[in-house]
Amino acid sequence: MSTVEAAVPGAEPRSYLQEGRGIRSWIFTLDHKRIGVLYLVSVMASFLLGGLFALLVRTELLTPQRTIMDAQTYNQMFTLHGAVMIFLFIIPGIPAVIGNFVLPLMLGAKDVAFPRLNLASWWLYVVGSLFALASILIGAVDTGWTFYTPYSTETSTAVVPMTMGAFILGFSSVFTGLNFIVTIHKLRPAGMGWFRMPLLLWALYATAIIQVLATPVLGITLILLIVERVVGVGIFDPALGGDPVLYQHFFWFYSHPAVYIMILPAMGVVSEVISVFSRKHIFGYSFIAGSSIAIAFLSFLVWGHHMFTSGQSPLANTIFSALTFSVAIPSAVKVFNWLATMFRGNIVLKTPMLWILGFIFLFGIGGLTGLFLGALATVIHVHDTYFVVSHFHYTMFGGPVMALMGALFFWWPKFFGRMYVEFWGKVSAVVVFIGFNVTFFPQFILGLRGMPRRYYNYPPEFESLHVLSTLGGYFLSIGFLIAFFTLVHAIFRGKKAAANPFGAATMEWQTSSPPPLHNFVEAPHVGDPYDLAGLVYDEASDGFRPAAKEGSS
Amino acid sequence: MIHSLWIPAFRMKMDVVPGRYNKAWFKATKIGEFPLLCTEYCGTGHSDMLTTVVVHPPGGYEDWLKKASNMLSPVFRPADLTDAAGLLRALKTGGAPVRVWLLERLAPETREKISAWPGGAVSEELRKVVVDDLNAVLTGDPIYDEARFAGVAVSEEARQLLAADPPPAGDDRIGLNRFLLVDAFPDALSRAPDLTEAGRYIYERKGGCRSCHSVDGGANVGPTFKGIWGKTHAMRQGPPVTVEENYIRESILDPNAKIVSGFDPVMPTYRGRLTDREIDAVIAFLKTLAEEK
Ligand code: HEC
Repeated sequence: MSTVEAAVPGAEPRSYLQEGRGIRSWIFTLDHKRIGVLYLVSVMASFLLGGLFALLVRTELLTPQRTIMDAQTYNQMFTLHGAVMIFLFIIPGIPAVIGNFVLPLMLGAKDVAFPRLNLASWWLYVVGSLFALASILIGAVDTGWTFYTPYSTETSTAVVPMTMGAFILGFSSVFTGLNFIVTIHKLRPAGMGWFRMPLLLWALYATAIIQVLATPVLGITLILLIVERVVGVGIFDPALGGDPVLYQHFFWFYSHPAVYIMILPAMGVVSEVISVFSRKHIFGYSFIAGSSIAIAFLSFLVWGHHMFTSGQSPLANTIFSALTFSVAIPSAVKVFNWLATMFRGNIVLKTPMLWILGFIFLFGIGGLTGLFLGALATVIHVHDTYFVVSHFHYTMFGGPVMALMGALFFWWPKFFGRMYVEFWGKVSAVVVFIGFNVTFFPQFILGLRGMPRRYYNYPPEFESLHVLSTLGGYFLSIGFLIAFFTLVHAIFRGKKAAANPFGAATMEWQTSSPPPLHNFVEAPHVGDPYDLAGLVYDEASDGFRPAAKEGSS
Repeated sequence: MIHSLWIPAFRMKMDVVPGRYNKAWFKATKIGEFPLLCTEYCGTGHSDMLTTVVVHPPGGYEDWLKKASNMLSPVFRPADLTDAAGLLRALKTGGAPVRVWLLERLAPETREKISAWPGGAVSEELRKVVVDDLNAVLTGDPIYDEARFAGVAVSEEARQLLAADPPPAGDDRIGLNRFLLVDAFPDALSRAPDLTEAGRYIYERKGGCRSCHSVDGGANVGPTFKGIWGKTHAMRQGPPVTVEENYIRESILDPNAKIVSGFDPVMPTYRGRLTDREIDAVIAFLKTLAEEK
């Protein structure tokens, strides 16, 4: 490529992608954008791995008895699917990929507050993943991703490397959270008060609080588990005088908030995309912002709803049930505000919007079925059945994964300066949406009819619904393959993207696509992040630019 | 391992957590059989942990219980076949009407096996199927018929039971059938089961005492049975007690009447689950443990 380009006055500055070449310029970079890309690559690799495990699990379930693997392998597959998807994919997904890339840009800042900590967080992610991969090779864990004791202290599989991996990944998560909290506090530009921040930042802020407060509890719990397994100190194992239910309390004290680590940033993405593609100011800004904080707060008070049948006292059950219902309020506040934002907007059905609409629909079902799981009278029947499996896929897959895909299609032009082929983007969103429902809706019925989760063999009357679910899973995977090809194709063959291809008012769209190393050449203009009226479409660049410029130049 | 008991039809579920007692209840309102499954992941065999709950019509449970608890004392155990080869030879030879009749009552497969039996030692497996078939005869209809038992010296016990009015039912009828069969094959079948052996069987299997009481002095939920006979134990309340028949019977039927100090009142009652004869058997077994000491 010619280097003359950069020298031409008025032409675009060198992008961060052109600053330095070779592997070292990437793996030792301090640039938040490059770290975002590093996370993108590693998190997506985990997603493919986790997806592969999922397909193996679904394939095994095609028949009531053995299909392609034995019971032990099956148990390892569903454990790995859960552990990889949660610890390696969804938890770091939006915060570490989208957050790292977009957060400083949205603040008009040069970088996050602690660039080295940021790089350390990625390295810890890599080390943690290597531990997890090593455990797969040594003797893949078969405890379920929850590592419940006493099974996890007794099984012969490699529990220690896997939990060690999760422990290290926890640090990675804490580092990211810490960085975001400080960055948001300290690096907001003059003129951007808390209530002029884009809502994604509110969401990332709330997420970071949970990451910093809850993750250490998981870390300690996993260390206690390792101590018990290796040294034989009785903490959770009743044979050694411990209490297995104590483990469940500790585990869910982190892992319930963790589902909000997954969903909150996704909700932030929705708030951004929905306004841009409805061509309308976001509705109820302060309610959406406040509800993120409310969710973060309430998320710490509901862990007991994972243990309704553990023998917990009826009083505790009742209190946890009531608290669980209260989480529905801030969640519903968000959904209603999104719908109100779309109401009377000029809805533009581009790829990111399709993924986000999918989010609202699927998360809606996930949330509403959550009420069945919060109500004591109904949860006793469906606890630990496919109903729960379906519920959390509707929330955790229908939520964060759909939002991450929407976010990738939304910010891809900013990441790589290239546009993808709109048609294939849309096809992938539609295929995934259909495939998702075919896969998971039957699982609600399975659960209600009495199909327990984590079953290798199952009664033959459940076969047809399982087959339907598996076929849906295959279809779903095709959707993701199309999405990946579309995105990768864009990097190499895509049309050059404008600075602001979708007409958004947040600051990251004021710099070129992709941005230069230090993000902004001129100080960006700080304004209402949802004031779309000031933007006009410019046919020449196929993007939007501020209307004011027309007269001023 | 943690398991979870789930009966979908009853909409109830409760985890089974080691080292902890959880309570659960349900009210079955329909007669029938319903699936029961484990819903807390417990390892490789998790998805095979299933069975059915049987809801009986009123009285049906008592009938079942009776049948189940009669399995031990009145019916034959393999050890009661004192001369298996002799019995098979007699059946093969035929002649006496009762022999011909009994051979016909056996399952066709058993008959085939007997006719294929070359004589000599009787295999463990053949012994078992024969005992099973004999028990099916015992627990079936009354077997006495004058013509059938022609030439058999009917014992005094059997004679009394045959004359009883009303005719013996349940346990007693099975007992009568047993007397009659032993009379017909006096050298091959033993008259009464060995009480000590029966007691051990109840301790290990039927009563499940083993899960709480050791016989080797090991600590467990309940006091060990090692050397228990004749010992004097301090009670939580009231004077100390010396272990003898009545105390054991009371401990089995009404375990909370006297609580051994240092233990919790968690032993279930066996009232209705063990017959008097079975309690005798347990006592006989406990006596042997004293002798070992
Ligand atoms: C669930 C555990 C459990 C089972 C099963 C159980 N027991 Fe017990 N048993 C206990 C406990 C605990 C005690 C001591 C407290 C008490 O006296 O009730 C006890 C006490 C006794 C005693 C008095 C012992 C003494 O040293 O004074 C006898 C006799 C006894 N059990 C017999 C039996 C027999 C026979 C069976 C089986 C048919 C049986 N138990 C099954 C828990 C059990």
